[in-house]
Amino acid sequence: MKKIFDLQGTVLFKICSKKTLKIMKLTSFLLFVTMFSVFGSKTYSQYARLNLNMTDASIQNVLTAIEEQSEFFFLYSSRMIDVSQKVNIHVESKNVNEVLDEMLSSTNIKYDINDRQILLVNKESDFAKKIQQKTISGVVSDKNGPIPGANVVATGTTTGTITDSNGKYTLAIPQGAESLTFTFIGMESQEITIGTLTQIDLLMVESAIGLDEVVVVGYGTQKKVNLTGSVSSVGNDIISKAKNSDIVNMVAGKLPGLRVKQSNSEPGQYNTHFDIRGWDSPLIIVDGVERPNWNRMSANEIESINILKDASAAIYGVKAANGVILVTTKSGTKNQSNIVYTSSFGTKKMTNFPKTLSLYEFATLTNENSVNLGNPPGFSEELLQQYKDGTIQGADWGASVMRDLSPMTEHNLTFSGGTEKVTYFATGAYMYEQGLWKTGDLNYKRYNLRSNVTAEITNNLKASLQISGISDVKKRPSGGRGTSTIIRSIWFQQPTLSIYANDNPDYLSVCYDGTHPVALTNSAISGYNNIYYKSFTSNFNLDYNIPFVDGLMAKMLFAFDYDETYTKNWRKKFKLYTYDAVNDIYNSKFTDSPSQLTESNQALNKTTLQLSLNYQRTFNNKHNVKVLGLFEQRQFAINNFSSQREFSMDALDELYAGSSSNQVSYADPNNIYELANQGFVGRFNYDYKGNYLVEAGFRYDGSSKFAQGARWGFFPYASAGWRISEENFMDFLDALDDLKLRVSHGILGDDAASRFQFLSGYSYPSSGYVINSEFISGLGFLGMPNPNITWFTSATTNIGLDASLWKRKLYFNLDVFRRFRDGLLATRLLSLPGSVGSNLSEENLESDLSSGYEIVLGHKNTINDFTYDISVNYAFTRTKWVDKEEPVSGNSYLNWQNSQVDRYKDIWWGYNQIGQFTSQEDIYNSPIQDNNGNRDILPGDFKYLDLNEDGIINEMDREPVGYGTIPDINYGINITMSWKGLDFYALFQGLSHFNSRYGEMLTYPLPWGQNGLSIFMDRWHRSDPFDPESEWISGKYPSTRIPTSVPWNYYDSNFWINNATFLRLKSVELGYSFPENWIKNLGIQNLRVYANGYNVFLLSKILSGIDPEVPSSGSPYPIFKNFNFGITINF
Amino acid sequence: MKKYIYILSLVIGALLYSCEETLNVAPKNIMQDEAIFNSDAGIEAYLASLYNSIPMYSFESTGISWGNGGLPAPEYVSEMLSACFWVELQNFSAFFSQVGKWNEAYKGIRNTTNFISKIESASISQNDIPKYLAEAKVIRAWYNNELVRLYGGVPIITEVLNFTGDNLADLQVPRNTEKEVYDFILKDIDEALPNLNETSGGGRINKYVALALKSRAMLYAASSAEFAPVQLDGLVGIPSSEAIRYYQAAYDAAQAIIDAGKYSLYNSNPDKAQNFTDLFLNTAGNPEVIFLKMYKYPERCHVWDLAMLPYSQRSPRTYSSNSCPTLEIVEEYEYIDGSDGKLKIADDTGEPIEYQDPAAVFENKDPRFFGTILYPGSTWRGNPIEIQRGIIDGDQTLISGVENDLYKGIPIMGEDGPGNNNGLGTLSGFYLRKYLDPTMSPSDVAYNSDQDWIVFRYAEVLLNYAEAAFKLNKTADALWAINEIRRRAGIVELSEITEDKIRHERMIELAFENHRFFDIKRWHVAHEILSSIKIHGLMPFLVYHEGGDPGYIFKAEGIGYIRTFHQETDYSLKISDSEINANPNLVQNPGH
Repeated sequence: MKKIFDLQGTVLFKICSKKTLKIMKLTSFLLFVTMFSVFGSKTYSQYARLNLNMTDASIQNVLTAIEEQSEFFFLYSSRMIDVSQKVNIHVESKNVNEVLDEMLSSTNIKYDINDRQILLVNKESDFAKKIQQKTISGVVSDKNGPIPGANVVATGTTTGTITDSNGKYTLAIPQGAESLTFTFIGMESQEITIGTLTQIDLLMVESAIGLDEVVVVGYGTQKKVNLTGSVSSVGNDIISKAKNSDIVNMVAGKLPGLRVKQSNSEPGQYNTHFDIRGWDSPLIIVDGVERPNWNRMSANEIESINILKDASAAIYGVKAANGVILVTTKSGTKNQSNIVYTSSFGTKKMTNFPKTLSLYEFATLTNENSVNLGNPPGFSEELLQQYKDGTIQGADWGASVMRDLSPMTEHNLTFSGGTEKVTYFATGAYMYEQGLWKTGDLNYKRYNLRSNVTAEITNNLKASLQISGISDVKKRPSGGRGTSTIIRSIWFQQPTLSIYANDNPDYLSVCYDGTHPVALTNSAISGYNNIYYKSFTSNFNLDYNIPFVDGLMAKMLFAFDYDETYTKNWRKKFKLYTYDAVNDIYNSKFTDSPSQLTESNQALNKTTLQLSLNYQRTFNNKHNVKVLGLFEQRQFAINNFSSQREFSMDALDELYAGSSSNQVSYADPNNIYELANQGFVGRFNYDYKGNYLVEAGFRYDGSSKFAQGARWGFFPYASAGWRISEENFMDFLDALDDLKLRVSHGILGDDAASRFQFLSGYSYPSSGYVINSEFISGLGFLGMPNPNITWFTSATTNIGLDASLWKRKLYFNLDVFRRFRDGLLATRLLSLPGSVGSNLSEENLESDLSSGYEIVLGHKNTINDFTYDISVNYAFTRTKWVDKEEPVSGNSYLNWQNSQVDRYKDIWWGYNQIGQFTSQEDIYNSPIQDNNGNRDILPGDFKYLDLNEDGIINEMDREPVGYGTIPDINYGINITMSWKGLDFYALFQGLSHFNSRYGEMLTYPLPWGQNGLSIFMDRWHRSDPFDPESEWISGKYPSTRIPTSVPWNYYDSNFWINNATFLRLKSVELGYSFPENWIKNLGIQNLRVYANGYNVFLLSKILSGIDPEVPSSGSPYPIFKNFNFGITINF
Repeated sequence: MKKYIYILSLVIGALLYSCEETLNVAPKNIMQDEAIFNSDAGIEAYLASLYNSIPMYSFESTGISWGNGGLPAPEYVSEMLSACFWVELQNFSAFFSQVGKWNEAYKGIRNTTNFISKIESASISQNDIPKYLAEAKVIRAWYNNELVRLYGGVPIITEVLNFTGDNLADLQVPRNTEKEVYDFILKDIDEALPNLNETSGGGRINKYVALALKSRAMLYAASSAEFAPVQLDGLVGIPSSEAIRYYQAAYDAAQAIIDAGKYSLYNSNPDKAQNFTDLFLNTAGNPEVIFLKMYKYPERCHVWDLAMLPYSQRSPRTYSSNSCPTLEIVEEYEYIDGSDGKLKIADDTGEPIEYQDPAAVFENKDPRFFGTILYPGSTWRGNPIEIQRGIIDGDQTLISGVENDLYKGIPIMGEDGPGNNNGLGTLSGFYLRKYLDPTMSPSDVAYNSDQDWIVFRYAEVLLNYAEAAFKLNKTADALWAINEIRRRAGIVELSEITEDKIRHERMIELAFENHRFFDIKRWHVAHEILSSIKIHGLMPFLVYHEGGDPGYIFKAEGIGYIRTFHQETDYSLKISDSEINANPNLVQNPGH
């Protein structure tokens, strides 16, 4: 009830505040009707009884008092109703009609009761009607049809009307009026010039981020206009415009300040990196409870995602120092019922994948490697020629196992709605995604269920239950070998080998490592690794309006979460064959034996209890006060175990079928523990007429990670806001809708220390030893205990400016922040001699400072049927060390190289590659870099800057050559457009200021002597590979040699540390909603079809064939682009 | 309404039953002294940790040099004799920095000292306490021995040091002299000896293990006194006047083991080569074994087979050929008649000699050669080891980098290499056989080898004895000990003894057991032996005869880069910069 009133109040507030003085003098009429349809019985007004005893009170105060006593709420426009008039009222147990009659008798206000909703209008409106001259009529509608209750006002006057139930209006225009202003809650207001028109039909458009929007903040909600903290939010409509199994990937680029970097697209992997403003892992709160496993949620169950980026997060205490992500799930709406079915089908394709060397290229590089190392070439000239002209074909390992396109699909069915007393939201979702392999043995399947039910048990007591279950299965072939092992195997199998012995597909050929790609991508041959994840989360809430105290509410939340990860790893032995052509037989060579089955289980249990008292009241129509007091307790326990058996007969992949000899039972002691937190929270909000806003709060938090004396921490914060646009002196700027300055500062605590560092003793078990043929587990020796270990703190300051101009055609947000963390944990390892023989436990020693800014700039407009909104967000953040525990360097040069104090954290040190050696003469005249008088160096090898000019290239010549792997700069461009039934969305996402250093096969030609990537053909080489004296031909890479024999070519340097900056079209979606009259007969309210793409295209300077977002090392699963077609049906 | 208030307060009350108590969460895997020292099982677990950290230079699953990556761990120091190691060796300083285990050794010393200080008040059978105490002292001596042989004199730590916030200066203990450290080792062992058992289960210290450690440690001390210059006022090096005392201690310790008569050289198989192979595999009940580091599948395994198997016999889990003995060590093996071990691959004019069977070139070598090394033409588990560099047909020499490349129906390259330029298969023409487990089929080999590593064996005691005796002018004792070993090996006995012959015998007998590198260091000959040297491999070529059986010739080829052991810097390990920075009282070793 209060929320609805607030919503209305806000819009009115806006209207009222700008030209209050002028308007208040005029008496005119304006009707104002709510958007909320009216259902159900009207008996409430008959039986509700009111007691009021107020003298010289403003009408507004009386109305507030009535609202607080009852379920009534008032709708009125302060343009036409002067609620500051003073009245006296003394009633006892009267119904509302009697009260209002008494109160309003002396005023020019009349009322209209509609169930619990009471509309106040001006009695003189009928009179005013008589003096107008020209009449305009029309229909106001939105994309769903006519809008009843929309406001139509002659601009600059108080003359207006509202639309009827068919959206129709007729308005007599006063003299001098030149245009009409159309407003409706939740819609963009529009101004249309009258000119000679007598009919104006208007299509209204939803406002994307209205001033009246309510955002979720710590333990509650707040109107966006009243926010004093730094919060970004995104609603379901925008979240769902992307197709990905990981919700984090779906919000990438949509929330300013949330940094997202995708690592790979392996189905079910959930390893996308995300953080807020470059800090450590943020706290994830789903429906008020900490739930880190949010990435598996279905987009359809999420109402909104908000992130708290500044000191306002302090209210969450533990871990909130890194910001908070608040996820709110959907709930049902009263007196409605909806059935929505959505479905999509799509296909995925790798964005980038490096090419491997062809048979000819492989032989060429192999020969060069031999010659460059002073050995004769292995492949003869005749052979090379045959490879080159295709007489002899090489094996294409990649094509044998990888598919071009992999499918994905998604279905979702939602029931939502409610009656007067009960609302419900129930949804079920299914998604299925396939991976890269032709066999289809890499795949992911997920089921999501959710039920959110709220019931008003009495007038004062509300109960709700939110339950969610997730079950998923991730299947991978090859019994625990990572996908990167398989990809590496595809890359390095030589094209000289054949995939099948004698090309007979029944016999896999012997190959390097025994990692035959065909076997490894097939579960039937090599086994599987299946991960079954199940999670159950539940919230039980009670909200109780405490009678006798106005505005006081007690709340209780109890949440119980459980999740379980069960892994079944079946590593099956298999055979590889050679073909004996003479005898026409196949010899099996190696089998990967014995077969092994490992089953492991990890389960965690979590309970959360919150008890709170909320108080909210407005005094004298000016002073708005909100107070929150809360107690929270979280308990967490985790457990795991695993068992393994070996199999001689592997027809049955169940533990009971395995052999009991050599069986292993194991549990990971690091994942068996319990944790508990308790916190007391207090918060106070005050605003004066909504113009001056103040919030202050604290959290007193205790953590079981610390010893008794160091356990509790007190973390206060405060913030303030000033809505400059509401000041009279800003009236001259008509275009200004809103201008607000926000400042916040607070100290947050973080308990990210390892557990039990205040204890001395031994951990058990640890590495053991075999004594007398018996294995005995040993002890782990803990470091010297530190009983004083405690919270480290983050002092966070944020200054923000929000502005919107020309009816929100232009909007702008700026946030500048600074976070100083103190008492960061570090061990004094480096300052304690090693001869002491023990490490100290961590202490609260170090500190760092991050700072940065975020900007959002947007423009939106409606031109006839065409509506668009374009916004750009840009965020920059960097962190530097202030205090760092480090050894004293011997001299200032070493200090410059090694000290991290007062230096940014994300600096990559390396050699400065100034080119490549061009000749032997060049080599001999250059500083020594091979420890052997440069005798081992060849033309084409990398030449480095001798920074300290000592004639030797060594460690001392390193200097900063790049940034870290996590980008400092994030930006996104969001575009939404709609025209009639068509809608369009596009998101460009970019990351900058980060580097990648690739390893293994992306750096070494012919790794392990096996095949490599074709990028290394661009290398220095002799013009005649068979003549070691022929002239050199230059290339990007050094001449081909075993990497370990030429380590100087592989030093970290500006050559290898790639600038990974990129811009990509992350999401694009085009949808069409069918006109209502086409589908009405089918019983469908709304039907939308759409096509979307994800990771559609990419601009980057990185190594060809590599996506800039993939991790720097190894041979990771690539990143995919998706294309999907979907349908949403609303019955 | 009242009803609901009542229910609500009841629920809140029930949930708020505890407050601060909730935060007292007990750790699930941390134990205190009482739990450890009041039970034999706790003490055994403690000892298991102490044993586990002793640097025994055995095969360990960690730190092995896989393929072309990184440097080998200290466990592989004896691969100085191995080509694969050599190729990867960038320089000795870099190698040393991998060997240095300063912090690890001091952790062990701290934990042992803590044990020593608490065991005396442990609530266990009083009879067992002196035994545990003695065991811990030997372990501490072992840690100190490791430090002193790498760094010279190091700080002697005899109590558990704790940082109290303001006592940093007390923790910055300066180095003791090398002599003081060796004497401390001697003291710990001598104090332990009376309380140690005569026998113990495999892998546990007894009286003779302590004596074997003592003879080894004292031999190192004596060598240092005799050969190394005294530097930094004795922090590095020992006055030469101490040499005889240490030789005597080494001699006495070895003599005590010999006199006890509990140990003898393994001599169960009349086939001397097979006997030498079996010595390392039949460790149970083996009379030669004094101390074993035991392994047990599946709890404690190593990867020796996985790493060392010949390429053609490799496990499907990849990795093989990680140690390839050099031609240099092969030629050190004498012939049975005691003649020089140089291989007859060329005649007096330098023309290669052609053999019908490649194995023939090794005929009449010391049987220990066949028990230690796999060579061209040998077999393993009944499978031929096919080592062939290429084919010679008339004037034409063919080489191929492709495994199955044929010339007139004959593979050009042997299945076991060499010739594949990228390091698959042997680099040198040889593979290591010592410790390879013939009972496991290659396809079963994974991270699962569990043959035991012999840390002390009687043969080493005899060699220590011979070396010390020779220095004490007891040449008869020395000759006896060396001939004991040669007789068992199946090679002609010596009639006279020299220092060179003792050292040579030690190299051959203990090859690949991680002694050689430390031996040439303590004799101070490393800089002479390893002066700008390049190692060599033996490359067999098939000689093609149209219509006839092929023959084989051999060529010696240099492999790897030239490496030099620097006299100034490589004899004593650099103390890490971070340790020097943390402890201003430490003096850095010379040359660093």
